[in-house]
Amino acid sequence: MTELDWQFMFNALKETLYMTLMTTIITFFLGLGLGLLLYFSSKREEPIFKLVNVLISQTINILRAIPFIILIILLIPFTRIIVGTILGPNAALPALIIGCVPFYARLVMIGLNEVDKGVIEASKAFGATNLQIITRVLIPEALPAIISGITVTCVQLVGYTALAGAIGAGGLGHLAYMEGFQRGRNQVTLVATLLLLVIVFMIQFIGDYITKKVDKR
Amino acid sequence: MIRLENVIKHYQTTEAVNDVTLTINQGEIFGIIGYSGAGKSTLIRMINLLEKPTSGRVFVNDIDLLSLTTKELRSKRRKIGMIFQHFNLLSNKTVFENVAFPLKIAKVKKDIIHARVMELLALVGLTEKANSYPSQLSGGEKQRVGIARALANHPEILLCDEVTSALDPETTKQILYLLKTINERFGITIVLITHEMAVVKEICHRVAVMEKGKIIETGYVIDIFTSPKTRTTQNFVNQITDLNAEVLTYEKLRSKYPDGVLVKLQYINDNVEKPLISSLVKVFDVDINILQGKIIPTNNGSYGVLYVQLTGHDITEALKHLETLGIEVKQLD
Repeated sequence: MTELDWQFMFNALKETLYMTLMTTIITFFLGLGLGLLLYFSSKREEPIFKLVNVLISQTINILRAIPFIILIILLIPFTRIIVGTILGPNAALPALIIGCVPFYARLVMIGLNEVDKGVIEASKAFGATNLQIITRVLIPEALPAIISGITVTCVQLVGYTALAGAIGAGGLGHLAYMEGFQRGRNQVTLVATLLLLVIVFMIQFIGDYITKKVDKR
Repeated sequence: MIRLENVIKHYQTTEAVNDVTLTINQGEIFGIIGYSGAGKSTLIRMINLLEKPTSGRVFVNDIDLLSLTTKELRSKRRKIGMIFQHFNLLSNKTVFENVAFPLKIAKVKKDIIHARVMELLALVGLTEKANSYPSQLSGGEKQRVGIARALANHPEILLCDEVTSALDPETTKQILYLLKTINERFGITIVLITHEMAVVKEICHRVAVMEKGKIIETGYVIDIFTSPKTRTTQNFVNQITDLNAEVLTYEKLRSKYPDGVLVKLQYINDNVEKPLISSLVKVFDVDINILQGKIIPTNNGSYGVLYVQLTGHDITEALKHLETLGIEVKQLD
């Protein structure tokens, strides 16, 4: 087992977890906000809301249509300005976030659309403000969808971090590609892959567990 | 008191409510009956402005709701409770949290919320279910939660949107009884819309009949039963009073009872209690055969319908006598 440097492996694991966690947290809030904006703008008749809806909706479609690997490359100049470098886990964050937020925002919107219109009407009848409708009705009622949505996004994100790793972001993907594939050390590739699988399974397990817990329907 | 003045509601292609003027008195149970698509659902939503009228005015206790700011309207809405056909409960919240919802929105203090919710759950008989989720309740129980929630902020008015249409007849009776109790005990004005005359008969004091966005008839329930002025109203009344069409039609009756005349008698209040038939037989030379009958108690008194066969010599006189007693006589032949 001389080929396998466990310290390297551990560092790569930490980097992958770091990228996944940071991106998940930021995606959760940005995606939720954008999803709510999409939802509300689609319910209004005024031209300004219609315009906002079309703009967000089309931006999301475009971003989702671009393959992630291309998105990273396109974002290199942007990343350089924001992060100051295009190497390392932090440099991967802008691309990961921009890759995940549109996807998650769509899932949030679908979840919000599933909320019973009657419940929203009832809340209005009881004098709820729009903010109260969001925080006390829409989000709690759509919570199972919001959580299962972030789980799906997170699983996809782990794949993205590996992809980003291959072009310099670090993490398990980087290790598997540079150390394992390029230098022909199959064991490294295998272990890195197994670790990625474990992460994905953990995410799915935790996500499913929480979704089930909050779903009282 | 609720007053709608010339309210109109246009949608793109249809006119849901077409020039309705209506006054609903403090403390009464007011029914609005109509077939689906008549506009009653839109009309009831204009009382709390969930639907904004295209034109016209809406007054609740002499306050013009359309003149209020958004904020003022929200606080006014807290005094107008509403319950729904499909209950519209928060599915991820417990019974307790659902009833607490309007209070939380109104930023009531936590200990007051707790006391009030428990009081309401006791009122609707669901104390034991406080920690259940709506999915664990029956339809009737869900509607009780809906009622408790609607009463949370001590409303002056309770709007009921087809609240028994998703319930079985027995549960319907219980829910209507609960509404009646609430009306009597707290003096809350109740406005309910329905397509079932049985609901109107059971609890309403007055009723408006709606068709194609217009109110075609308004009056005390007993008057609507005894003298419906329009075809639609007659159809609704027939839901209750008609010959049971499957068992008895006029033709069937006639072939079974070929002699004499067949008469439908309708009478209200006092007459129901008097021994009409036996006195008639004693005074006139007639025989009376009761074919079918119903006594319908309403909130304004009882109302009876009898289908009878008269034979003998004094039929015309007997019928005249009945008419002088204030009984409506209708020969079926």
